[in-house]
Amino acid sequence: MTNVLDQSAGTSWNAYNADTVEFTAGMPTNSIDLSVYSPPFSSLYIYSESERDMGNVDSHDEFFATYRHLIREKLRITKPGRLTAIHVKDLVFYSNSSEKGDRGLYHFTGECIRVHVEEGWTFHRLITIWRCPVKEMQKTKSDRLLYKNFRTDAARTGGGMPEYIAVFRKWNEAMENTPAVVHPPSQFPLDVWQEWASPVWMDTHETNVLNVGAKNDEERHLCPMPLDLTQRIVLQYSNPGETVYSPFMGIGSEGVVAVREGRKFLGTELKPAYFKRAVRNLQSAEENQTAGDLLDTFSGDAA
Amino acid sequence: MTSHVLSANTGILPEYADLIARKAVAFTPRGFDQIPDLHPDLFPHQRAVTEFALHAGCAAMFLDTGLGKSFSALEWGRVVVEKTNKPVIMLAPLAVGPQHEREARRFGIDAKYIRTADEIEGPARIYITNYERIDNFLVNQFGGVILDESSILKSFAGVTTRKLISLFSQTPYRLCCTATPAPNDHTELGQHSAFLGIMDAPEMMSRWFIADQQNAGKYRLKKPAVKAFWRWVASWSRCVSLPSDLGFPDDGYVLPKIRTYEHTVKADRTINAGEESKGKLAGQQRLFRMPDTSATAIHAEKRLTCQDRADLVAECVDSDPEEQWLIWCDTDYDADAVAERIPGAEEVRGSMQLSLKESRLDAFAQGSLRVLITKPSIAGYGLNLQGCARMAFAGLSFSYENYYQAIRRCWRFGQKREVEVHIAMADTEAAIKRVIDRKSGDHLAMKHEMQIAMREAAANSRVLQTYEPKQEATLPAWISA
Ligand SMILES: C[S@@+](CC[C@H](N)C(=O)[O-])C[C@H]1O[C@@H](n2cnc3c(N)ncnc32)[C@H](O)[C@@H]1O
Repeated sequence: MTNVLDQSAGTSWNAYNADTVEFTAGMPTNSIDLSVYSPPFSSLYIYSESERDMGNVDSHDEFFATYRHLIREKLRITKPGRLTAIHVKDLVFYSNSSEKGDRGLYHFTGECIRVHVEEGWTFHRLITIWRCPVKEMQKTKSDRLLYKNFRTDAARTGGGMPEYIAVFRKWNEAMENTPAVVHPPSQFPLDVWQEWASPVWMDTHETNVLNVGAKNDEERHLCPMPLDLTQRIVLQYSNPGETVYSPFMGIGSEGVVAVREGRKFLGTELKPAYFKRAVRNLQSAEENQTAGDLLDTFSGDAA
Repeated sequence: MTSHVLSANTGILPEYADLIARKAVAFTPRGFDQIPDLHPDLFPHQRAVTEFALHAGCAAMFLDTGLGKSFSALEWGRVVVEKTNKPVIMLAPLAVGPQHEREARRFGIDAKYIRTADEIEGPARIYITNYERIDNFLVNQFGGVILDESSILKSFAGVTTRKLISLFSQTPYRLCCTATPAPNDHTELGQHSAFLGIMDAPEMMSRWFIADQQNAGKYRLKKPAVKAFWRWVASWSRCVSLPSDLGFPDDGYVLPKIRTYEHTVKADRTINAGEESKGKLAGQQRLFRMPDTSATAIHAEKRLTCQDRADLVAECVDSDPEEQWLIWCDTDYDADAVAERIPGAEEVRGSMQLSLKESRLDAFAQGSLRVLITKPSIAGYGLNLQGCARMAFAGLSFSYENYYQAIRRCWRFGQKREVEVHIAMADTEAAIKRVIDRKSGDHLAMKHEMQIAMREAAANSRVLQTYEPKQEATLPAWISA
């Protein structure tokens, strides 16, 4: 197996402080039932000074040159017929970072889809996640959302930016041998399905993130993956007891959901500080799980 | 060498390892941690680059003409002598040596211009000599080496450059000084990095460059590697065109005006008109010659117009008799033609004795010789001739680098007067001037790009953390294929 900086494990989870590309390349073929995660959004955030940080790149090209390797290895380790789901959004760029001096959108979502398909994945589904434009305006003060512009120079205005979950499938002859994911109607009645099948998810919350566990002096994770989104994906696309993988586990959000839902979890994170928090979060998720008593790990909308 | 260490297991993903290596590589400084007080007369930008180079141990100062790189280099040498208690050798182009000795004296730095090893004696100091004389010395006695006008390496034969690189490969402190390189000049950057022991040229090429599909034999920077490449260059060099590149004020660094005059000779096109080669007139005698831009055609053209161009140059020189004139020629027959017409003019050409070349160049620099005729490849690099403000080109070659450097001998910081550049050419050679003008535009654009990248890189020349995982990972028992 590959070398890592550090590692830790519970009964139903294993976490590795490692470069995910290298780690994933060392994993056995057809060993993962589902992967779900947010990749670094190209160069939007730099997470660490490490040469391996995929956010620490000079260009989108450079980002995809490295991310592509993960996409390829992820295909190999995924069981035939099973899925990978990535949480992404498009990026706004401004004149100061553009050669042409223009302002607009970079279709990061589209590029992720293109590269997955190029690496052999089948594009399977795109869920649009509604986000409130008013909150976005308050947070970003984006030129694209100002009422002032809407009144005086509306060509400048855009609209709110949704998030997306793009889902891909490993399509291959051997897929019949992989057990099907099933949903007993007693637990998952028709109306649940109808809600989840919606092409636009209107009812999830961006504030529904792992927030506890950050001690005062610890930096907050720049963009933890919402738990409610993760939960739907984990429930729809894996059976209890199966293995869920997050190559960019950050502070462990996907792992916490997976463990809580009775799945096994495997995750990698490069930044030691995030890794340590992920381990803490996974440990407490497992304790709560066995105690059958969920503490309030969720900050919820009210927070 | 370089600071990246690849862990053994990246072997599974060679292509990925390559990407990471390209991203992470940075040169580790191997100079002095404690830098003593530097000369109080250094300008802030000179102090900054000198400190950087002392800290790096092996470094390049890419300082444009007139920014005082010799003072910075001499001060660097002084500190190396002091710290190592060994002499430092400074290699300079012909006739530049005495100039440096004078400069050192002015600042109270102990440096001596010498021609042979016998002249080395007494306490350790800086010894200045010419590249051409390197064989007279045993280099392992020196604690440090300075290559002055190091871009001259380019004009040496490959063997000479390779010899220099290997001669000094064990010298602990190495400094290269030259004007900012042309940004696309990877040969020059590669030679510098190899000389400084930072990375071999082929490794540099394979890391960041790609063969240009459109241009056989040419290489260009890989697009995603542009910033990474300059970041790496910034880890072992400082590149300054103006003090503001390093965040200092530009006061006093504004160049005087330069005026370029083109004088054209109307070539007689009926000579050697040749015959039609194609079409229904094939074989028929042509009325006029049709010059093209092939090397042979240009040469033929030049020979035909040599006398006329020399007349024009002589006219210029005669019309401004109080002034010193520097005449650039491209060929010996041009030089002969000009010399015949200008009484008192002296020439410096390649075949002459070293000492004669040197004394003539020095006489011109001191102002005792009024008209000097020479070639850019001989005197185009390094000399400070800002006492002179008139120059004439008896003809141009396609080399923008030569043209630029030649002009820079007089048009540099320290020049107090407007500089006049006269170019004599035949109307049939207009293509050459057009190429030079285009290259000059390209050069400025790319230089700008490089400056921005280098400025950014110098401002936050953060070195990425390397990734060295030591623990073997264990997979859980429940994971299975
Ligand atoms: C978008 S965040 C994921 C956040 C995570 N979903 C959570 O909720 O905490 C991306 C993460 O990828 C990590 N990362 C970047 N490059 C990496 C690499 N080569 N290997 C492993 N992790 C990496 C970053 O440190 C960052 O924490």
